[in-house]
Amino acid sequence: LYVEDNDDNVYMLKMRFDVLGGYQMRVAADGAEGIRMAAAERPDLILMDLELPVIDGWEATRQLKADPSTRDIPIIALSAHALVGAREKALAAGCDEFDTKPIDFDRLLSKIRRLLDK
Amino acid sequence: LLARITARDVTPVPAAVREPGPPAVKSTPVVKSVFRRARSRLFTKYVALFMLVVTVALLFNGIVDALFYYRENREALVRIQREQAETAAAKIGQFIKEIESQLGWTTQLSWVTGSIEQRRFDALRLLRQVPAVTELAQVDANGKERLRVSRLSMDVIDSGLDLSNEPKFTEAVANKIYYSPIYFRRESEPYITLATTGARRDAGVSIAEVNLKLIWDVISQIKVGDHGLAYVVDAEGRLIAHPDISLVLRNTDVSLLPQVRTALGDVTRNFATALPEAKNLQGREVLTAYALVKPLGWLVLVELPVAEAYAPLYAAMERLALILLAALLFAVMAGILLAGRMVGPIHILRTGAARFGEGDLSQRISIKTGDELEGLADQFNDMAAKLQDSYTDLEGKVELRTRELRELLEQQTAAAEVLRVISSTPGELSPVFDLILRNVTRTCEAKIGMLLLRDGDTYKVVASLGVSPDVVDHYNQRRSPALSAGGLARMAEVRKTNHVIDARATEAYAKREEFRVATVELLGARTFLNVPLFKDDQMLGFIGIYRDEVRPFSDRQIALVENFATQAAIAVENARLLGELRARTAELSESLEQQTASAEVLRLISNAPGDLPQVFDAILANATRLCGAMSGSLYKFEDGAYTALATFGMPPAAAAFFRQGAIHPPPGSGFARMVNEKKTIHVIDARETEAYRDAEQFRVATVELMGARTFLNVPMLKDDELLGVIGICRDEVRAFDEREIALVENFASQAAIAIVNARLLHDLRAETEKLERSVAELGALSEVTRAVNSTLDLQTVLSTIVTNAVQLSGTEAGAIYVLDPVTQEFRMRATHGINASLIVELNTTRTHERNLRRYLEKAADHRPFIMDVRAEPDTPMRAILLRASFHILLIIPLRDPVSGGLVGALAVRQQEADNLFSHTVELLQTFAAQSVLAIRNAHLFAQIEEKSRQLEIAGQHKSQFLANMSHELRTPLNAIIGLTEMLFTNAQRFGTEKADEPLRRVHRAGNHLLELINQVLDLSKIEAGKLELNLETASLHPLVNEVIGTARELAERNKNRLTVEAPSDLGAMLVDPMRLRQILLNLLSNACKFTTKGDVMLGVRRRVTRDRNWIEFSVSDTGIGMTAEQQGKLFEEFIQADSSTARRYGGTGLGLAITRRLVRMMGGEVRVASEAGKGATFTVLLPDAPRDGTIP
Repeated sequence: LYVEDNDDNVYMLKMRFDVLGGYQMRVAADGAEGIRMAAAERPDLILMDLELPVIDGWEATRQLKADPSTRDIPIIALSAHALVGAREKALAAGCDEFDTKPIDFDRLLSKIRRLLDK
Repeated sequence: LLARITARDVTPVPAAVREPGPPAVKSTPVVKSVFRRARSRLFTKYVALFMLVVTVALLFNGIVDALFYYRENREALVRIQREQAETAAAKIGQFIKEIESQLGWTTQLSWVTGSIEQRRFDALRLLRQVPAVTELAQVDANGKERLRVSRLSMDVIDSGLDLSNEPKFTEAVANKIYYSPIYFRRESEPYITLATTGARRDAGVSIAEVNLKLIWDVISQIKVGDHGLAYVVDAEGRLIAHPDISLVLRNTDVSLLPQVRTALGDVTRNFATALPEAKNLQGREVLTAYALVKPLGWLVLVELPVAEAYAPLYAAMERLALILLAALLFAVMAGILLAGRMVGPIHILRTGAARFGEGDLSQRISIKTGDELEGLADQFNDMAAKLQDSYTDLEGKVELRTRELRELLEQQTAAAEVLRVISSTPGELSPVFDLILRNVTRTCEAKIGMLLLRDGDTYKVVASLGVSPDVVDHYNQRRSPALSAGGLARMAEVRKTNHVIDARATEAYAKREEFRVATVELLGARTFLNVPLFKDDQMLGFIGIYRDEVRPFSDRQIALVENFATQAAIAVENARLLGELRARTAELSESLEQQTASAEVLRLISNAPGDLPQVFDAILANATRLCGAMSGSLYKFEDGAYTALATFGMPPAAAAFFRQGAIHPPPGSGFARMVNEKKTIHVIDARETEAYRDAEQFRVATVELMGARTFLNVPMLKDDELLGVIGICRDEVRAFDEREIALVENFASQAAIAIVNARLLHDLRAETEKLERSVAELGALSEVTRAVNSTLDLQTVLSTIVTNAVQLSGTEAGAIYVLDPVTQEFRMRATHGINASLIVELNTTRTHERNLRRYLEKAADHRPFIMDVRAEPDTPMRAILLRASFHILLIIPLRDPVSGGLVGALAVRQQEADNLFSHTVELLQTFAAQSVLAIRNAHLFAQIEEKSRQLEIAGQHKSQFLANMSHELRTPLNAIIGLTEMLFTNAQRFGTEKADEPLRRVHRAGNHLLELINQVLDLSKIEAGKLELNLETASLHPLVNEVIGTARELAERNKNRLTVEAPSDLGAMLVDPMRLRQILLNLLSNACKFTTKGDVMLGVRRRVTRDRNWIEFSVSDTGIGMTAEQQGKLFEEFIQADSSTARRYGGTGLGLAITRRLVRMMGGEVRVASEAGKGATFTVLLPDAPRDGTIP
């Protein structure tokens, strides 16, 4: 599940996973929808943008991690914030991993694989 | 025992004898009395001892005898008494038994069978046979008296008397026998009724009245001793029989007597109980024995008075006493005899010993006892003999010794006399020498004696005895040197006495040595003695003793002469020292006086350096007095004129003349000459001088007013400057000697010194005063300056200023007013010495500010001015100021030096207007300037603070903006980079092969933009101070390897060779490893970027400069390098070597700027060394953690 409000980014990442193959991606456009979809569809992994409308990524992560039904789904935070403390803030909200945008696709893939292997 | 007593008694006696010392005569009575006492004591002891022994033995024997005798005697007596008692008891028993048995017969017949006559007949027979029975009655079994036969009355037959109820019948029937109590008939005879019954039933009872007189007889017959007696008591203790019948008749009860009571109590047991000695009925002490009368239970008691019983005992004791007395007499006599024999010889011994003690050693003790005492006497005699011998010997020795001592005493007396003379006439040698010679010649039994002392290179006779004056003259007139040779030279060398036995026989005489020949021929000496006088190593002279015969001097005589020689040497030395001392003392006392005077003057100069008149008075007085002058005067010379400062001993008229004022020396006068020559002028006679003849007024005054004849004028000089003159004069013509002139010159120079000192002191005081003032002002100024510089708190600064201004200017109170830039009002900002209520009052008075402005504006040119409040028009402020005693105010306007505008005022209170000195005003102006500065500073600081605040806000906005911008730029870049990457990596799938190059360029541009954003962000974070270093201890080798791994790819792009140069023991450092990596990668990427097919080298090493440890990282390349101009701008933002570089090499132009900022944050420095075309070397120096591990 990719929770992201920017269409270009959604398009780009979805395209790349399609090209890569072996991954199926669902997309939520805001935090609230992300929570709903995660509960309904139980994805294997969530890519969570942090600056989101309705409910932001941090809050959405907190809620997902608080819900026993979605608690075990690994979450990777994706943020355009590169300032010191962005990573810590994301992990504090409950994210399992953190990566910055622009995305280094190979690096992201390796993080995804490592979390799924767990 | 005797031996011991003797020993103890005798031993102390010799001590008592010895104790009294001489004189012996006095001791005699003591000895005798001791003797007598001792003797009598010993004697008495012997006698007493004998008596004691005999008495004790006899007493013991006698007492033991008496004791046994008493006991045995008593037992015997008691036994005899008991036997008698028993005999009597047996007799009585027998008597009763007999009557019983007779009666028994009368009861054998039965009343039935026998006839009454028969019975009567029997009864009568019984009466006849038994005289004790006086009456017999027979009673039949029914108790009827049938027959009664009596000696006293008629016989009665069948009287019919019924006795059946009588006890004598009933008891007899019951007990076979009955004894009635005793009763008496005719008041004198005791009777008893005895009834008995026969064995047969009808036998009846026979009753007999028995006379007991027989018992009395029995008792009476018993004789015990002279006064002993027996008596009988019945079982109840009533007396039955007693020699004194009256007691019995009185029916006496004796049971209360102790002996009877004991006996009665004992009846049933045995008869052997000893009865106590107790009183009998008559009250006499008796000894009692008893026996029992069997059938009746009566007791027979036999008693004997104790006195009688023990009479033999007492007799025996009397005997014993007699024997004892006799024995004692004997013992006394024996004791006297024995003691006499024992003590006699001892007495003789003691008397003898006492006489020995008294010194009578010739007598002998004579004892012929043949025992130890005789031996002792012999020993005493021996001892006395020996003592006598040794006394005789001792006397001889004492006599000898006394003689020696007398001689010695004589010599010592002589020596003492010499010493006394030496000490009583110090320096006077001849009496000493004469005395010595007299003593020496006398003691040495010589006629001639001489004492010679060294005089130059020969000797001179200073004392002689028995020598004619001619001979002495002869000795003293010979001047030939005698020291170099001969006996005297030898003596000086060996330092020993020369004893010549025969002068004629000496070698010296044979050689005709001068002194020896004189000795022999002039003095006629044969035997002589020369004893040298030495002081230290020097021979002062010698004593010569000469005999006209050959007879050697004894050792003692020589020693004596030597002793006198020593004394003579001491005397000579003493005389010499004394002479020196006297000379020295004379010199000293002379110079002392002068020195005392000088010292007094000097003391005055040093004590009161400014007090010149006192000094001059002292100098002049001393100079005049010490030079024996009549009067003196002292002048100061200044500006070509003399002024009299002191006069001494001058007539009033002269003093008035010379002290009239400044004296301008007329030409030709002494004063004028002094100015020209500056030398001492000594005029022997003033009357004879040219000046006097020319009637020069001062010389005339000197001669006529002062009366001077000889005078001395001495200049007071400092270097070559004439400071004054000291003049002294005499009223007679008598020149001053050299010493006096020198003295006055000395005083003159002291006076000059005093003048110079006074001048210097005056200058010094002025200087010091000035300096003190400056120092205080400087101190205050520095305090104010410090306050202005150290604090931006305007209040503190102004308070410091006003406080210092008031204190330093000596005013009393002050205040600073400051113009508020906003309200344009003057406000009182700081005060000193003004009380709080006044401040409040001034601040709340509305007119105050207006008035102040008016005053300040008065001083249009902004210069300080004095305001006399009293002269001002009447306003509330004036009233307040006057009430607080602010009468005069000094007001210094505060003027802005730039704009020239009025910014405030410093006002201080003055008591009086003329107290203000110009330097006070200057000082206050300085403070005013400082105040202005402080006020300006405060304004500026307020502005700066405002600006800073604004800047801070702007900075925050900027940071926020950058952060937002970064985020907003990254988001689209994500899509751009991601999609282009996808397109050229999956070109086939998207059919974009032909667009490969454009896509790559878009992708590269996107990445460049990203890098740019990142670095701008970094830079802004560093600038905003938001970048924090995460320090940790990082090992350098792994870190360098990691950096090289990343940089290798960069190097390969331009085909560069990348090498590392680092020692193996780099260790670790405290650093933010991420930022260090960033720095190194930055430099390496630059190096790789600007180098093609060249070498890029990373070097790491440790460096130590002065006090710190560093890690040095250097990145060198062989690339295009830089010019010096390019290097200068290298570390600025967005700078590259030139604008074309960016196009050719890429890069943001921010890398080195960030690098330098990071390095500086870490406390290090980055430098570059390069030349265009020759590569570049960037060196980064980072501090290593110090050894103690703290962060640099």
